[in-house]
Amino acid sequence: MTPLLSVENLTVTYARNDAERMAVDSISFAIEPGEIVALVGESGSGKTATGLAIMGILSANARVGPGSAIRFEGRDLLATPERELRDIRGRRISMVFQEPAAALNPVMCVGDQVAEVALVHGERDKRAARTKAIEMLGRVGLPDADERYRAYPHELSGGMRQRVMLAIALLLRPALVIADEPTSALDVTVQAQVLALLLDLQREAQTAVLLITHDLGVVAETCARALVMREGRIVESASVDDLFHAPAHEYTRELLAAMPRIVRPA
Amino acid sequence: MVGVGVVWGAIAGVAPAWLDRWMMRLVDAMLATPRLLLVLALVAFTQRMSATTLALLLGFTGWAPMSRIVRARVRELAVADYVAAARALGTPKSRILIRHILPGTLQTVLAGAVMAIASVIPLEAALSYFGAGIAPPTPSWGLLLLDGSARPLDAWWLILFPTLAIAATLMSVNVLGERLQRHDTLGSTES
Repeated sequence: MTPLLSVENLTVTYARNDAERMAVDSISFAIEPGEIVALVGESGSGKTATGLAIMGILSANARVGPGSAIRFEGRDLLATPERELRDIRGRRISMVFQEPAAALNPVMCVGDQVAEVALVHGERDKRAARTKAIEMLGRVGLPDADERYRAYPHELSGGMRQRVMLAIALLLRPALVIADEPTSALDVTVQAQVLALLLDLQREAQTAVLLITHDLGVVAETCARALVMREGRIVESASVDDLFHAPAHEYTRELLAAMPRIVRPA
Repeated sequence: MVGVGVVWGAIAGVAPAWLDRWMMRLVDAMLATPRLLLVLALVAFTQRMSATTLALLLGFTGWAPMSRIVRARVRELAVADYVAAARALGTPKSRILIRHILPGTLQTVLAGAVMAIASVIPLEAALSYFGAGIAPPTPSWGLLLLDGSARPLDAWWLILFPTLAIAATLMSVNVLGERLQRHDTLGSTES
């Protein structure tokens, strides 16, 4: 089976004050259709830069190195013109951001932001887009979806906002969702709900997920396979079982050891 | 004046660096020219001044500060997370600018517009006082001052009351403008 996404020799550098800093250092990995893969690592290890590079929305001072290739559904995204990329983004690959409060437009009501995806991708009938958006908001568990359609992001709780983000990302049933720390900004109880919702939607749409996180607890609960990143390189790629029971790389062992254990006082 | 300023500023805000640089140099040039002189020079070319032409003239010479404010705000919003999110959804650039960035500048534009009014009122008064503003039958505070200034001691009220009216209007407009600037809820980027 050809993988849905294969990243080959991806290198990303950021220019800052004439110096180039390497964020991602020739990494390669692949994701099969419908698979959930975790990308783990500490802050600054290049996880987010990898996600942004796949989406093709790196900031202006970032550069993808020569020799990199990102193949998705049989074509190299790095060689695809911007026009065609726009068609792929949001429809075939979409992204969930870490801070739902910042990733939603504060002056646009949430329903319109969901409907926007459909409108950008060829839906001409505004009313149809609206109906679709309401239905999706209901599916992600927003109570009174048709009333909440008119709500602005600041009127919703953090968990609700992230549900809206999921609705946006999954409205067009993309083949791949890149979820960049989707639960890090949320309360622990809400984290579990949002994660469960993501898995539900994933199963239903048979979407592959690249879950970027530093939370090994999340990895253990959701993923079958994990990639461990450190200083721009993938240091270990293993099934989650192996990762937790027989970590091969020193760094992975350190990461596991760094997880706080909750021990009940005697 | 607001319209030209907003459009100019918004385009410069998202334009490539070289175009942005040229557009802003033009704005600098506009800002460096004393506005009263510029308007007077333009007035010299017009035959008879109606309120509309005067308004257009004032607008044409006054869009530079607004475009600067808008450009700064657009630059700020262009790196906001929700703009990145919109790009991640495949939204075309023009649509991002119109749907996601411009609404966020609304508050800044409103405040700027009120400040612009505050700068235009004394300018109009000054023009009329020089006899270069609106033609006589149409009333204007500057014209009233001009009429009264011939005999300051016999009829002091002819000068005092138009002056008071100008001052009072300016003060209230300034207060309004400052309130709008401080009231930071519309279109703010923080959560």
